[in-house]
Amino acid sequence: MTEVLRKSGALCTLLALLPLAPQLPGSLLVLIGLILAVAYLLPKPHVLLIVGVLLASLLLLMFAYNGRVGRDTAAAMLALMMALKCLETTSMRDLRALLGFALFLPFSALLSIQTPVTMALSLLSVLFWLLLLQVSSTGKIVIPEKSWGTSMTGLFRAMIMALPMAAALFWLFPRIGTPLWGLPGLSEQGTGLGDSMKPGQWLDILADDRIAFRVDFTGPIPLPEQRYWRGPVLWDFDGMEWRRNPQDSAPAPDLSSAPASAGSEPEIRYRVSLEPTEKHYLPVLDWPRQAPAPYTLSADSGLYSQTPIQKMTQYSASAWTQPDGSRALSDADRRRALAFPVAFNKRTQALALQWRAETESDRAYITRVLQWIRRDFSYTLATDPPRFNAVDRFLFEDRQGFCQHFSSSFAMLMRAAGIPARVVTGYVGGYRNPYGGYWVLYIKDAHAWTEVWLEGEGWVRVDPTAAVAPENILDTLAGSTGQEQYAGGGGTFSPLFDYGDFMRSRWNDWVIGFNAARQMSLFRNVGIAQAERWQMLLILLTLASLISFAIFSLSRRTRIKEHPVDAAWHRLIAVLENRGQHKAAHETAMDFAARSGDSDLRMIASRYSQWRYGRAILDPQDCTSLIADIQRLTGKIKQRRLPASGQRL
Amino acid sequence: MAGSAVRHVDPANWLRRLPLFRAGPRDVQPLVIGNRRIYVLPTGFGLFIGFALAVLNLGSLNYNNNAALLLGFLVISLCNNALITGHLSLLGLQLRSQPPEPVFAGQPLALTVMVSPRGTEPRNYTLSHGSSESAFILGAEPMITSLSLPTEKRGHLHIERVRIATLHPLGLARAWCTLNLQEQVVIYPAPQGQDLNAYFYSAETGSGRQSRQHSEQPHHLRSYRSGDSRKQIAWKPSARTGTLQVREYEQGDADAVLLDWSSLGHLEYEARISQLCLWVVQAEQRQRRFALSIPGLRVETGFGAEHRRRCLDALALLPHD
Repeated sequence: MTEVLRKSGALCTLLALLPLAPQLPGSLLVLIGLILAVAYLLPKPHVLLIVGVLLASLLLLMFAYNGRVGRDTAAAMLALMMALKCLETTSMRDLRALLGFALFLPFSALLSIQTPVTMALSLLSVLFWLLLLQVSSTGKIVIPEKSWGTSMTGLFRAMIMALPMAAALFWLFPRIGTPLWGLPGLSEQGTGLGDSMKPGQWLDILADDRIAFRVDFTGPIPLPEQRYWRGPVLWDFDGMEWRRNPQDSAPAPDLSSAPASAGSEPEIRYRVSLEPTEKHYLPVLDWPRQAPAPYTLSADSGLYSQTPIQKMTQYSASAWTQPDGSRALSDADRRRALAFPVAFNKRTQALALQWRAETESDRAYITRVLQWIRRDFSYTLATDPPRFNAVDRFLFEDRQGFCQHFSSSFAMLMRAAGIPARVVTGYVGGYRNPYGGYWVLYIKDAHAWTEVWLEGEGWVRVDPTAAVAPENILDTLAGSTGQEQYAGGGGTFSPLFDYGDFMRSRWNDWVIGFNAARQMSLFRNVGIAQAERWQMLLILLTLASLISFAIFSLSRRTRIKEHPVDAAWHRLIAVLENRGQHKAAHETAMDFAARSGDSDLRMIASRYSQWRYGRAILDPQDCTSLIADIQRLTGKIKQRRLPASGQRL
Repeated sequence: MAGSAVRHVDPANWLRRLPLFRAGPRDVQPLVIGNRRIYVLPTGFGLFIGFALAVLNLGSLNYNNNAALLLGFLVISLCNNALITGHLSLLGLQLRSQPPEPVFAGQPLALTVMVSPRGTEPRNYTLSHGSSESAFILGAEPMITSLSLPTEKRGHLHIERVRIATLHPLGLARAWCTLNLQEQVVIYPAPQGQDLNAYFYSAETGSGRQSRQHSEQPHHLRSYRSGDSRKQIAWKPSARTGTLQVREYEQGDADAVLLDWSSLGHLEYEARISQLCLWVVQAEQRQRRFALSIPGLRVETGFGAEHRRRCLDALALLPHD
């Protein structure tokens, strides 16, 4: 018994771990696998041994997460504790505790990643969870006699029957508009762009194949040179690294008013599904006009959220194709956009001053620099790590690099020439999914460009990387030069991947993106303008009851059968009725038989009454013989000719 | 009278007294379990799972984590459907009970119930009364299952009802139905004390004795019936006829014994009852004719199963101290 319990517990944990496994570090997975194997194969080890394993595993856990504590560490801890609980499972009580806690594992997996794959794995583990519940329903493990295939079919049927109610609950259960408490962060920093940038630092990011966000343009699709997605804007340069202040993300009070000069410009409207980043910024197309609630626009036109983006987030926004030229640059901002350490990059400073003096306007100066880049520079990802006087080295020695080098050096050249400039990080390009018609931006589409302040025009975007002559691009990654190159294009399986991603985006739209606001619009669509919580619950309860009743009626299917003996007796009465012998409702079987004067009938009636009302149980054989006798009598009566007359009782 | 001699200890006894929970009158049998007779409530384990699900869903709601919510709601509706399945697994079962045979106090009382299934799927059920339980798997065929109830004291045992329950399908909830029996069973006193022969047919002491003058003259021979003592077998005639023959003695009133309450003054009240009970049993076994005299009742000389039953009933239903 104990052995079966231990095996069941280990299997239960293993299957509950399925959805969480991809998120756990490899070393921890190996450890958990080992513990489960021991729990499955061996009897319960000594308590001291278990405590030893516990301590060792905790050490490994801290090591695997570099001693940091976060949501992912907690999930790993839960998985570890489940495995250790298997080790000491000996009773039904232990197994039931395991079954209860096993539910938490798929949930903790879904807390971090809500992809269809995680969902499918979670469903699988719930399926096995149900099977274990079924097998242990009586308080001990009873292996069903029928095949496992039949059991699984039954479970699938149960799942399908549960779907209507689950859907009703999902759409109608009142949602909470604002969370009551926050989600703990991850122990590691998330993916995507940070608040600082050092040339050469982005090699990992530029090789990251994961999706950053998806975009659906509701209107016409903007031109490639308009598809610059703003992320964090970097203001401060220390000669090597670009940074921004946390205060830069604060909401700007005066940006909500629409600029007058841009009033006639066509707007670009779009909808973004952003994958979790654990950061505060949300990418928006240049130039954002209004912040979609609950987010805010910062003074440097970035969209920011109060809380980090920890799950798939959807928002709609619109953009102007031209910057707001009517706004003035404050003195503080101008000073910030012109500052650079004078001690470094002396050659660059000298060149900038010389060239600015030789050209008659800021625009002409910019054009000259871009022409230089086009002529003398090439694009490559194979660069040396950053050193002192990085800008000098890049401009005068290496003359090859990628967007970080170009934007960083270009902004330095501008500042040295007295033109306010800043570096913008974000995403550029994207890949259009042929099935959904939406655009996918990968993390490797990250890009850095510059913005310069021109009087009367505002902040103007200049992308020095795009100035590199096409023949000078030595090695490239799709999209990083602002040119349209399909990341997903080519390859035999790309239609399959495209379709998979299409399904994924539908999943995001229909399931993941559902929230209190969309729930309200759902109710509005059926004519309830302002649904209160209790009204929703009332509708939900009504629907749930109806569904339950439907399931009840469908499952019952067959009517309650009459007992075979009763059935035979009633048939006999019906035949007698046909022959003109009527049994009154108040008459007992014995009275009726006595009145009929038929001795066979009397005998049968007596036996029937004995069976029906007597206190002794007839065994099944006796029942069968009684039924046979009743049927024989019925046959005999049927063969009798119909009475000519007068025998009516 | 203190007839309800044996009552199981029930923590929820006060609950039974409420009109809602009181057992109804005896059901017409066979009882076909209908919708209104079935109750479904979660087990402790079910409450634990429910609590876990509530916590998980509250968390998912708070984070508006729709994937987790969808999973949570799916599990919740699976559990809801399990309640319906539990209900359905009782619906339409046919129950029939057999009146239990009287037993002596201390022996288990066998309560037999026949359960006929509605479907063919094998299901686990438990039949229970108080603390006694009997688990069985019901397939396509009717099943006769027997519940063994403990008996402690003589007197009437009142069996109000038995419960048939199932944890099908997930063990999260128990669906049950009660079969109202309102069955009154007589529990005979525990037979204890001195042997009948040792008391009546040994040395001449005591007042209640009868001498044994008759026994050497067999009246006639008859064929063996189960229960006959081995001493009664006439071996020689048996060998002659090929079947076992038993001597039957002339049994006049003269050789009858009087089992007299008043002759046992040296014993305690209950011990007297037990002693008389033992003698009734032994007298019947040994085919002695006997009369019983107890306070307030005298059963005249006789023998046979009916006579024995009357005497034992009378002894069982003597008032308790």
